[in-house]
Amino acid sequence: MIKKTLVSCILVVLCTSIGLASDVSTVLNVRASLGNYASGGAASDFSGNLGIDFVPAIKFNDKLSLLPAVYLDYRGIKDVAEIVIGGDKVFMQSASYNVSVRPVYKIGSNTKLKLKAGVLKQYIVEAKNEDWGKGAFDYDKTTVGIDLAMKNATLGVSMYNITFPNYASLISQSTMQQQIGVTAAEVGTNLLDFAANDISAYGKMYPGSAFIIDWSLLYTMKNFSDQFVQKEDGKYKTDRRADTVTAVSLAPSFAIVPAGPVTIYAGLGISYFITGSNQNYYDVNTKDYIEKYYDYTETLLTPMFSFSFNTIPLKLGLSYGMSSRNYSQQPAKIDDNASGYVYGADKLKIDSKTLTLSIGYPLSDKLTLSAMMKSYDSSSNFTYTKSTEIYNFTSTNMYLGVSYEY
Amino acid sequence: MKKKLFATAICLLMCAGYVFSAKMIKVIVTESYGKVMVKMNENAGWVKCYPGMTLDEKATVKTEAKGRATLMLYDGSKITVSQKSELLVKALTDNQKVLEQKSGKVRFKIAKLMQGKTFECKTPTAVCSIRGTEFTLDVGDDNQTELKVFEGLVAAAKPDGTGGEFQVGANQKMEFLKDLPPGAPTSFNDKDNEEESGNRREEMKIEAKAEINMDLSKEEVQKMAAAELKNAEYKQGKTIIDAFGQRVRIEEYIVRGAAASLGDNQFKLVVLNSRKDRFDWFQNIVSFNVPLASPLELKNANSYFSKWRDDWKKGIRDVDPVYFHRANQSGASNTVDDVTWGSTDGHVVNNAGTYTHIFDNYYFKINGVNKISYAPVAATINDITTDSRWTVDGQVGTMTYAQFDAWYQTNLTQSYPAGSDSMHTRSDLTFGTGNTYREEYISINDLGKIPKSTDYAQDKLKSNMEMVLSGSDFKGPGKKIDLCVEPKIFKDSGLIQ
Repeated sequence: MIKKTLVSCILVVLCTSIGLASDVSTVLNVRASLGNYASGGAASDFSGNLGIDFVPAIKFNDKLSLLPAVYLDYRGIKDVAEIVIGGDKVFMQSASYNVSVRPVYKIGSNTKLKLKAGVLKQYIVEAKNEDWGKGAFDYDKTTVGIDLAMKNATLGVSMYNITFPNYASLISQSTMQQQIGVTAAEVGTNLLDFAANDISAYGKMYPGSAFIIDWSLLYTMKNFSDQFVQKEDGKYKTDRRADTVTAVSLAPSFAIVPAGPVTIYAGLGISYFITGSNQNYYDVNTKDYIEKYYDYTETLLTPMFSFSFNTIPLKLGLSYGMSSRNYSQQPAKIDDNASGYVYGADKLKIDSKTLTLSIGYPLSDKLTLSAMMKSYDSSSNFTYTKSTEIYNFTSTNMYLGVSYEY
Repeated sequence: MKKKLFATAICLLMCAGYVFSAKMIKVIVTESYGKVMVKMNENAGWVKCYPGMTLDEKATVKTEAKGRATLMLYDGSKITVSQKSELLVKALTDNQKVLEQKSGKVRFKIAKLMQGKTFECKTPTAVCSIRGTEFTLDVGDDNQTELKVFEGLVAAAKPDGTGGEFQVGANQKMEFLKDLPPGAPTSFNDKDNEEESGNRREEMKIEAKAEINMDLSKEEVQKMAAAELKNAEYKQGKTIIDAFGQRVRIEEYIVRGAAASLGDNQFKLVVLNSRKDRFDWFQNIVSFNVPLASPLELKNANSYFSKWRDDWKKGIRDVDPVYFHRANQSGASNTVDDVTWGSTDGHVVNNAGTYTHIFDNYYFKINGVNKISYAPVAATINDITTDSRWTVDGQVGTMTYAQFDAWYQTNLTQSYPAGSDSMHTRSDLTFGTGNTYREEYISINDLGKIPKSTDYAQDKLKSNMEMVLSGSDFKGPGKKIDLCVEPKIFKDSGLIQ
């Protein structure tokens, strides 16, 4: 209902706006690529990705403009981090449409107020018997937000709801709840649905010549509307799950060779995430109870280099991301011959490294040929290697494509 | 503590950087496309210009063909230097800013000035004083200057003052030619308006692109939040792909207490399976020999007896178990058909220091009809091979263990549909009534792939177990019960060894 209302409002605003506009400027980006992915010595078939961004920017006067946006996305090539975690080589395609409007009001010469309302529909097909629109993890997102953009910084507040229309607890679908001894009233029905509130700040700093620091702060509160907190005996409290995510990022970048035929930019992305949750976990198999199962911190360091040349318009990119995720309460599962696995004394720790190589070559003013290769290496103290719980693996993917900017 | 320190350090670094940057920067190169050069002062050589480069007084920016640079002054003024242009930052103090445009076309978007402050743009043939406005200056090959004002007001004159000063307002233009007095400002013609319109659209497009980038970054973060939930479901084994390529969602619950009609020595484990077109479920009720007061004691009792059984199979039989099963009863259903099986009246037999755990009764039923069962021939069973009497549906009377074993071997057919080296086994049984029953066990990983028996043997519990029960007595969906369960659960329920 909210989604339909929002879509209707967006359409009404859009139609009215075009009639009142003093100027309209259209941005159209199209990205298409072919590629495949590989892990454990086996490569996938070739597939494709397609992305389209369409933004007919509307200006009413010097102070007020409107940015309606439509983003369409199709992905047939899995990202390196997705290849094993969450389903190895599960047959997967995803597609989404994202429609939003952003009225932008200029308050001062360097200050703008930006509102946003948008809807996103994400389709994910992961099994042979899943049709488009029927994927277990399809979701809808509605977003509203407001940003205050100043000269070198932007402050923002946004609220979004994510609902999984095809994912309800199985117990809620059972007519034998009393017989089973578990009811949907205890467990919840729409387990994954949540409402989030974001507070964000981001911007740029210029501490020295050719030296830029991009920074961002994000604090998110996620409240699950229908997921109850699990207790020590496997039953459920009346409290609902609530998560918080704090993310701090700094990305200094600078030119390190300001002379000669090659220009090299160097950058270092530094991010730190703290995820907290009141949700616990009762493992029915081992009868173990783990408090604050989802709590973790993650540090991500990504040195990045880009190369451009005087003689040819070729651009090369190289980055090496190093991430370390440390769960504060969740123990690592280790192999146990008698029972398959047991929880070890050490908390789960996952380290990963991502090497990315990219090449871009402009074929014309608007058309660019690009290729990318990503290699991912994950290692962990989680030694129980069941296929969806593999934390020790390497994977790669490759893309070759074109992008068009109108 | 460590993470707090890290977060604090980052915040301090950002604050320090901001303060540092606020004091130092006068002009920042925010964009640079194509060949753009910079000379830091009159005596310096030309160097390449990069985004993020900071400039000070006396710096000159020069663009070649197809080059473009955007500069931002510390007061927020924005200057776009078009191709084949040259601009000198002559003076840049709080009270006086002077830019000198030597050639080409430059667009100025000057922030509003405070009282007493001046901002001048000079060309070889014109001097423009600004108070906060938007305009372009185009210096031609013969040093002629064309001024176009889009917003606000610009006071323009020749450098030597000849011809006087002109106030040029919005949508007006004025030309300064070498050695000629300036003419009065004139209004934009259609070509000017069209050019301006194109400029505006280009500016809007640049802003829109920046918005798209920011928007997509935010969307990506929010998408990651949804993806993380999905991954957690996979990691906890709540969703898998079965041997037939179909998604199976799995929920597992543990139930205890009088509300579920369970005693304090019991627990019930429930596994629900859902596919696109079917719903199956499994339950296992375990009764221990003693009450299990707490969740921890339940865990301990379960682990203890599981290990005791494993040790017993290995030949370690001299331990009298503290915890053991009094009963272990299971059921599987497709919501229409149900198959139940269970062992009751469990006890421990001590035979000269060798301890054996035995159930006195066993049953296997399909839709409530007893198919196979045994009971003690006397009060209790001390040796199953001698003390049990077996009943089979359709067979008249009871059988000894040896007779039952013979009947079973005769009526059971075992096969390997995916090859003898594959972990897919099928057992067909025909009862005395002529009714048939089939049990299939397919070891699958979470993606529905069937391991080779050699791989499986290395670790039986690393694969999921798909159990498919079917037969002539079944009437429900697909005439089968199709369950994917962690093998440990089947092991604990006595289904697999």
